[in-house]
Amino acid sequence: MAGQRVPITMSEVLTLTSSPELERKMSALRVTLRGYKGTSQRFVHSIAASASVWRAKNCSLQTHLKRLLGRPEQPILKRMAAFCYATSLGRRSLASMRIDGQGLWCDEGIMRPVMSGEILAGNGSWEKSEFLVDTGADRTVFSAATLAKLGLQPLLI
Amino acid sequence: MADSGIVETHLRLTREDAGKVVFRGQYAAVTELEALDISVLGRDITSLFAVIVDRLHDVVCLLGQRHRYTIEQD
Repeated sequence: MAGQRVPITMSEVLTLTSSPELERKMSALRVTLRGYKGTSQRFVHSIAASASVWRAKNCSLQTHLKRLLGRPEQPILKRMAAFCYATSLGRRSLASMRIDGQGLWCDEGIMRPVMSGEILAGNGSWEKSEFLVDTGADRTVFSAATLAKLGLQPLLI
Repeated sequence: MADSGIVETHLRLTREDAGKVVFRGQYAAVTELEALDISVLGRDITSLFAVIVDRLHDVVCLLGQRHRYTIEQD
């Protein structure tokens, strides 16, 4: 019966208003008076449903209640950005990072910038070594004398 | 062209507060004594820092992380 078009006059509507069968018939029939456009039964149901559950769906009411009553305790998620280096600086912390070198005056009267460092040898000890700070060098290179002290077998290229 | 090889090891430098900074990696090494009279710190490490070489004031240092430098004019 739902969705079926039934012609009805205004007098019949007024009669039905006083009739106890009104609610049952109105729910079963889709009544469209002349000059009016019918509303789909589906929309009528959805309007009724949303009206009955408006408290649950009303977002502004939920927000208002949360503000009024306070938010329930929730764990605070702490997120941290991770940084990674290609070399073994590894973890990036905001630590002090100033490495002092010294100027090494050579026989030619030229100061050469030098850093004192240590290299892990094959026997597990740290061998001291001086490094020339060369901003033009593509990569770090150990001298033959340093390599001999390390006792490491180089992979020849 | 000098004969060279690659060694995998750790290199560490000392900060001004005596802490150690360790760099793990593969480093080149020459095998001829005459090829290099001192080891060279290259861009694989220096590019991690701001490098200051001030011959006028005899300052050599690597700066990183919380340390910065400024250039001032009198």
